Amino acid sequence: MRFLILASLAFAGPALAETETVSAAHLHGNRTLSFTQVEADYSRQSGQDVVNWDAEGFIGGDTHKFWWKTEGEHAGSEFETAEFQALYSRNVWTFFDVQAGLRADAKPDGRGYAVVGIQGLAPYLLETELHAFIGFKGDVSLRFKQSFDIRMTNRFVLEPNLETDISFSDVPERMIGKGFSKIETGVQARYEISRKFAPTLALTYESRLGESARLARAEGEDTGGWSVRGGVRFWF
Amino acid sequence: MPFPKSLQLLILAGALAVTTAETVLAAETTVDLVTRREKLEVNPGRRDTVVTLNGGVPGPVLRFREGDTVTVNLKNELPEMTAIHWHGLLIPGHHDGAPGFNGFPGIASGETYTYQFTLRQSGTYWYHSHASLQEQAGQYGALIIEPKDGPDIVVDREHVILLTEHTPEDPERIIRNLKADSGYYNWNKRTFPELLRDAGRFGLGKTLSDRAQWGRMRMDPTDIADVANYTLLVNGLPTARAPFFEMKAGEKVRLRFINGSAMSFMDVRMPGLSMKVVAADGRPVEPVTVDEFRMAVAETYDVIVEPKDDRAYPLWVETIDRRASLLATLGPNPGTRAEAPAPRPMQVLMMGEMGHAMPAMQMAESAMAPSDPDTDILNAAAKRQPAPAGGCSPEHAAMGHCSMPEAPPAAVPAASCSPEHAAMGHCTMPAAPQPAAPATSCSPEHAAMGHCKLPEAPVVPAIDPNCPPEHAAMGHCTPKVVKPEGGERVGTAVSLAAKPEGGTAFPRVDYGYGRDPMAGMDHSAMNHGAELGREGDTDGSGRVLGWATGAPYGARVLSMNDLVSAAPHTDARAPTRDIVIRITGNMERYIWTLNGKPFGEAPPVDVQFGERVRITFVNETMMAHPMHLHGMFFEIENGQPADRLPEKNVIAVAPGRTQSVLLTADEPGEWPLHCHLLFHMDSGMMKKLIVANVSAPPGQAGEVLPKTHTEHGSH
Repeated sequence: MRFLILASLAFAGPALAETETVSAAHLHGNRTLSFTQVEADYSRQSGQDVVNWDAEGFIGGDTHKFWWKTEGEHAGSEFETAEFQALYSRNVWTFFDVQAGLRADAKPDGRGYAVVGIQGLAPYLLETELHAFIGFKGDVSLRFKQSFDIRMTNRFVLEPNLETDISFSDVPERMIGKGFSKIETGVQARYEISRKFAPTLALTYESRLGESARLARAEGEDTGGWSVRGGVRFWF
Repeated sequence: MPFPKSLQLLILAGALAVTTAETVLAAETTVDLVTRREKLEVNPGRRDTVVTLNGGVPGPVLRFREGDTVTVNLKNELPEMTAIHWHGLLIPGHHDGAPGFNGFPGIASGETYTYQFTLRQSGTYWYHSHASLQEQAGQYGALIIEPKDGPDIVVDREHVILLTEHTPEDPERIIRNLKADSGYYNWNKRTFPELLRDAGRFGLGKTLSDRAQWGRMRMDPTDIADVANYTLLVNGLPTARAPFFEMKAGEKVRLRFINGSAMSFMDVRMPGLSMKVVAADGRPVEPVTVDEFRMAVAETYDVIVEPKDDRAYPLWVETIDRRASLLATLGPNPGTRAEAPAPRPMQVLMMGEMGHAMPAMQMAESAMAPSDPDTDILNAAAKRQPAPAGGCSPEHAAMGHCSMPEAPPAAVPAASCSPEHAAMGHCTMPAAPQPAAPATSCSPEHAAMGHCKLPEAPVVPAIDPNCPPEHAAMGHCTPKVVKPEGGERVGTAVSLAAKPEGGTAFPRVDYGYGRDPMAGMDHSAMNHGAELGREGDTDGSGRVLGWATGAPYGARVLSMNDLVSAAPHTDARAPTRDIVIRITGNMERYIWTLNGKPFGEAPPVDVQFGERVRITFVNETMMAHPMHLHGMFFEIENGQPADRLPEKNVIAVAPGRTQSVLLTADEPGEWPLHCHLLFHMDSGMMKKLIVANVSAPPGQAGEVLPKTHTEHGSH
């Protein structure tokens, strides 16, 4: 955790200083804002109670932001995965931020990564993230995420989504082999009771892929499959 | 504190001239105002936190006389800084009330500031907060100045109609919500079922292509206004409090309309009553008779009505996104309530409205790339363009640098003019019906619905032979009729009196909010892709295509091009140079800028004292922006005679349009030039215009250009 705090100081520092100088013009423009969004869901998988969370948020102005993310999974009585990111995010293109910072994993094993990536809205209104993780233990991977809103009504939204990890290294401790190592895809339905609060129900296919799937099977681990997840999404 | 009897008016200077609960007669020209944040029951049964002036929302109506020297003591009982701006007043800079300008720091919490100025004008104005977001919370009021020689128009009665909007939400919360999700308040986005309905009506291919275009641009065609959950107020009263204005048959009544809202363009009409517009933004104009007019945020219009019958007439006001409306009653009996007319349909924007701007935008970008966007002068672009025959290439014209030679107006033989074409304004049908004056028993709306028939208009005078309404509607020209003989001038925004055979459900409406930079070019060659339909068509869900649509055929609707200054100007010099202000922004992130930079990150615009310049606003966004200049009036280049251009301090520029104004910089100081949509200004859509005796040698960046370039600018 100390690691995270240091990271946030390192990256938030310049961002906040910048806002300060800009606000010399005062009163208009560039206020410092904060945003926090949390998605959490529950499912029953292989006889276990599984809770997934995915939260992110920022503090900053229009151009410079300190961005944080965390996601993970709790199955049965223990955490399967738990990761945290602290990023400096800079609005470089109209619809995209470039981000750089650090990622720390608590589970399945303790690891640190340098992170570089982009996050924003791609043509055809696709929410898009692409991040590269360069592990301090030498493992390198890419993560790509996309999602899209289909409005059945102005409150009832179907969101097809896709997340995949591509590894450039073999990480036997995590049963990860080179190539596409993981996919998570499906459709999440949400009902926006307000913009800030929506219950969700998702049909999700989550699985290890390729060499990673083979490694998991060899260890006698489950490679994943379909699940129905009920949860909430809220932001403030 | 109960409402509305809570207006506590304090008048100093010995004379306690409290007249009515709403009016301060400035017999003694000192006014005391106190501002604080308190709970008020704006909507019945609900107390919301608002920012009051002397205990009320709005603040008192301030009435002065031209020539008065006015002293206003403003006591700030808010926990934060405040500042009141006297909107439209010619005033010394440090009393203009814009913090950060002219050395005025704003009024700190607990302090009292004394404004003092001598009134050099008359007309309908208003005052409002120019600090943080207090205006949205209620810190505003009307300001009326009588001419020093008595009323310019003798009337039996007059009413101030201050239109504003109220929200229970903290405005600070609103801007945060918009920054987090720019579509936060839009619950009218297009849905999948709408896609299916459109596919049924227009075909799947065309519908998908339309959706794909919007998706590719990452824009929302239903994004017409940013904020919702508004209750419209007239003089502080919502529809639920049955606002009433007394007027009797046979009277001549002056209505002073002020759009004091933070974010809402409004359509104003009084079914059954003709309105004669006699002033705009405080300045007298040649009378124009209209059935309705659109008010950009912060505009004021004075209209004269003369009711024929002693009955209740509705005053019906709708925001242009149709999500908020207001019904008030005008009539002889306070007990009566007029009935609301049918509301207008919602619109859906067309890619063409935005697409028109795109090539111009890209060109502007490339032309401006090497120079500082703030000292950007059309000269830069002009140099790059080889001068074509006639001195005006289509590209050039598209950037608003010059006017294309007029296409032969309306000389198309009847055989070659299909109704479709005519409806699009491409040609003129033989014996096209002219705009008709509706009989009181048959409003244009009713006629459009086929309920009744409008009587034949006697004759329509006042049509410029060189510029028929059809042509004008396309923005190709503007009728030049200052004073018609033996007739009245009527609003020309809607040019067709009735739906032509095969015409669209609604007519095209040209509010005169800027010119289409592509006017005169071959639209079909512009590769806009397939629109779902024509402007004025309805989509599968009843939305009307086009930003400005909704008014019925035959309605006399005010266009900016109809405004003619009542008095000739003394200064009709040609401008020495053009200053381009690109209206820019990032809707997705809710960042609004001018010339691509937020206020505070861009250098100011410097203008020589006494210099006459053209300011050209190029709207590169898909929203309309009411651009406001403090401290001076500019003249709208609306095609009227050069010495009769209307003077205004707010000019709306429609999505993708270009509008130029002329400014004689005769008020020294630092003046804010900004979008009057409060949350746009707050997020950075503002510039500082400095009028000073600058003695920089000619030829330096951003300074006076040789006169030849003004030739490009004659629109």
